[in-house]
Amino acid sequence: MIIENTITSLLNFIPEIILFIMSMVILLAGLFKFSSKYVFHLAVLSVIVAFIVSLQNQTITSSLLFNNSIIKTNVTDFFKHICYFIFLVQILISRNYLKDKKIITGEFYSLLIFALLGCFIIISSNNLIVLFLGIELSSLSLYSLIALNRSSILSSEAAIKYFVLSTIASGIILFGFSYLYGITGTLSISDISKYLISYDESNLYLFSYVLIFIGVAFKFAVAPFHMWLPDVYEGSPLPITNFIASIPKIAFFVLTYRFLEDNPIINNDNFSKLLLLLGIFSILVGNLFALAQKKIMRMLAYSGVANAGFIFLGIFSAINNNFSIAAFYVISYAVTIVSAISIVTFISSKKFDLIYINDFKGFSSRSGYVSILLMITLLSTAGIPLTIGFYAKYLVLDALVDRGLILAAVVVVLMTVIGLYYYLRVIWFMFFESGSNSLINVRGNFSLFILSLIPASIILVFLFPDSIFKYVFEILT
Amino acid sequence: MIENILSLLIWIPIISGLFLLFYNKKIYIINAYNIFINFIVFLLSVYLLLGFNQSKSNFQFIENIEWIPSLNIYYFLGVDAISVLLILLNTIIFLIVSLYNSTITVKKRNQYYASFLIANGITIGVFSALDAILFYIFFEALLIPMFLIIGIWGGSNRIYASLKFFIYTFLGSILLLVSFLYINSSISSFNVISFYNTNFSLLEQEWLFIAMAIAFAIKIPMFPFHTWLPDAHVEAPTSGSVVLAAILLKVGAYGLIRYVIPVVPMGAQSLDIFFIILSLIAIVYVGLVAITQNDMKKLIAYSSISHMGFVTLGFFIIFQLFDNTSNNNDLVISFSGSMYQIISHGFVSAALFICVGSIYDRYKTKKISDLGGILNQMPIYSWFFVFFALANCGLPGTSSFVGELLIIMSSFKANYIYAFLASTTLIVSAVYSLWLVKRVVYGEIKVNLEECVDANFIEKILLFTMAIIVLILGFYPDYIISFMNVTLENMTNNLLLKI
Repeated sequence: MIIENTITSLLNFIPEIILFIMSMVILLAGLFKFSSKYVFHLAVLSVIVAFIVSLQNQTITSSLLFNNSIIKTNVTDFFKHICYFIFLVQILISRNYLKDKKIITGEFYSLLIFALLGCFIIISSNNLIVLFLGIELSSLSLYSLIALNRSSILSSEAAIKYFVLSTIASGIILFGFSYLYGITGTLSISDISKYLISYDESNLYLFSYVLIFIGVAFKFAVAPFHMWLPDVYEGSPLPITNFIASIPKIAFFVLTYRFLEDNPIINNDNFSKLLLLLGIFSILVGNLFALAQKKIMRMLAYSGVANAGFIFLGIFSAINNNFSIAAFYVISYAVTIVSAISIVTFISSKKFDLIYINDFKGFSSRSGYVSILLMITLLSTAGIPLTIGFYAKYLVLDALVDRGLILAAVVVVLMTVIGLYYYLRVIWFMFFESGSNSLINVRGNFSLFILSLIPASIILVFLFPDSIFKYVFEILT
Repeated sequence: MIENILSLLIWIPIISGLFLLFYNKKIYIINAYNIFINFIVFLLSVYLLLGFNQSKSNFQFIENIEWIPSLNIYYFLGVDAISVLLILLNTIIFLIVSLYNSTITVKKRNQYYASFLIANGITIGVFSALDAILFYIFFEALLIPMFLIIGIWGGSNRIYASLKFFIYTFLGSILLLVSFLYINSSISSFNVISFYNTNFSLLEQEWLFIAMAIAFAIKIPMFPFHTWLPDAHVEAPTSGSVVLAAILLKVGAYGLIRYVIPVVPMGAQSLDIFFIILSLIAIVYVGLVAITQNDMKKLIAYSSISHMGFVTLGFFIIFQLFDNTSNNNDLVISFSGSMYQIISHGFVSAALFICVGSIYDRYKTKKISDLGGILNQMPIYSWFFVFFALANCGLPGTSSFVGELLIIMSSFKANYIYAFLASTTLIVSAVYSLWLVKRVVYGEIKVNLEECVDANFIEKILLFTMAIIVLILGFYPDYIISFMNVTLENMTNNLLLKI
């Protein structure tokens, strides 16, 4: 019986096992001269294989694996597939950048895949210990990845900052876990979230949830826990920024979903007020600070803070267990920001690092196509119609208005208008200013094809959104 | 009978505009393609006009397809008499613009034309969408091509102007979105017909009215929200100014008559005095501001704001009008006056901007003080310029006269002070229009161009056609007024039931 269970568990976990083994192989391959050329291909291959296996392995019913410590449902599958897709785009785009920076090594891809694996464990864990292992696995890999560009002083600074603050966040999360374990006497997340159904709400339970959500807010970079984000975005190599901006956000969203699913605490006034206030504060801080930024990555970081606020508002509006709004927002934001950072990665070349927003001046005359792609992406982040970002913001606003929080909705929309300015600034630099920098890279047909995938889907999903809405609404309500 | 004619009207220009982005070789092919598409769209809109049954008050040519059932959003199109006329105005103006564009030199010609084609389709979408979110999407999407037109092809200060234009309008429209969401949360529908049957309390109606009316007031633009318009006009290329004045401002007025006054009539009634005052300020004060301008485009921009003040005045006096006369017919006349003013201003301001643009092309200046005596160099052009300036100040026989007359007549019945203030426009607009003509067309020759070409063939045709349209509208207004009659009667009846 035990052996049978283990075998089914292992069979259901094949994609992660593939990733794990392949990251070891890549690490080894990077050591030898004859094979170190192929680390990139190995990485792409292993992710594709894992993706395909995972697609084959989809479940409709939820199943508990490895002695109830791992859960596999259609929700976890869905988010993992999105992570696979995003990850593929990221590593396909980043190759030239890494070559230019001379950090295309075995350990880079190995660590990156470990970070992905950590996120997958966060997504699918059903046990506090396993969950913490997942958080640490992804964070540890990211610490070293951020510091990988040893010649850059900003990179080291970012790594230290991320390390210190992220460790504190992990500590706070762990502190919350210990309380939870003390109160409920179980490590299983599904049991913990059902605890309130049979027992009265205690302040300690609420307190431990607040601790966990402060940790989550750290990871999401919701203000006032956002201080690390701009430095990390600026300092780390662009492919790593690309990773940090998207996949951990998805993973931590699934974590919050797992903690709040069927949990009456979401209806607790104090707890939901915490989410609301963090969300609105984050939108205020993110948008106002982004206005003053001169560097593109710092601007995107603060826009990320604002968007994390929207995600929190989405979680706040998940009353009656409707997480689809937040889920849609997370997906739309992750996909969009990956497109934006990928474009910046793509156009940075050996001779020229695109750092300042000013560098975009006259970019449309250098490459009209890429600038249109970036325009679509930025308009989507701003939430203008014709892009998927419009629906994301629309759903959050709709939820706020439905709950009667008109004032909050008005504050949020006013901030969106302010936020529009800094997105438009990039667009106007690209299209309206003259004088283009010839050092900017716009070559590479394959990369261009990969880059067009996301903007094309942003517009297509805008035109025909219903099947996606239906799917997200179905699995998350 | 063409099914889906509204969809065709919307999507033919948008899709052909997108195609045009990929072709940039032979100029005459681009020109011909652009004119051809605009002409097709124009023919379709004429077909729409002829196929429209004006004796029915309900929406016609309805297309209602489920678009996003999970969010309760439909692809719901339909037109009444107001929309038909505005769509026709839209297609005529875009046809004129496409012809005018073929005479100018412009960089990135294919993208320029594509922006206009896309704007054409989106505007038709705005005028025919009957689902609030669909309307909002078109309304918002319209910003993008206009933003690019002003920003890429505009004058020296274009970035400031385009940004101001975008952010100002976006601010208004996102408040509109919140209002739509609020209405939806109580009736769970975005259908405009069900919007008309809501029962909100007075307080709710007042807040909804403020949010939505500000959104459209920015677009019209009404007095304190108007500052983006002069900048946008001055910096926009000539064709951009034409579209801005003739079409975009009308979108705001259309929004008021479709989504604000019939949806929250009680709110509109209780706050109408503010909007009447703002309209009067627009008419008198902005008219006075126009006199002092030294930039021709700015002058016409301010005169546009002043003329749009008449439109809003005509909309908002109806409640007081009803209190005084209790006659439904008076309300219809007031609305007809506003609609007539909308259409007339569309042609007159478009023609004036074309005139100014052509002068700018030749003399490279828009400053009134730099110009003078162009009559000697461009006699035919000057004739048209004088004609449209006269039309702008509401000379009897031109189309502006009809609208202004109807609105002043109605405002007499509402309150004679309104009428008194509104009538001052007859003097003020004459002052700025005629003084403009006096300084630019007559007087001493200030710039002596070696080789000054008078209006070319296409320009002559365009200006002549517009002059004819203005005269026909001026001498024979009955067709349009009776065309709108049933729709407006029905609208006012519904309005009176609810207040």
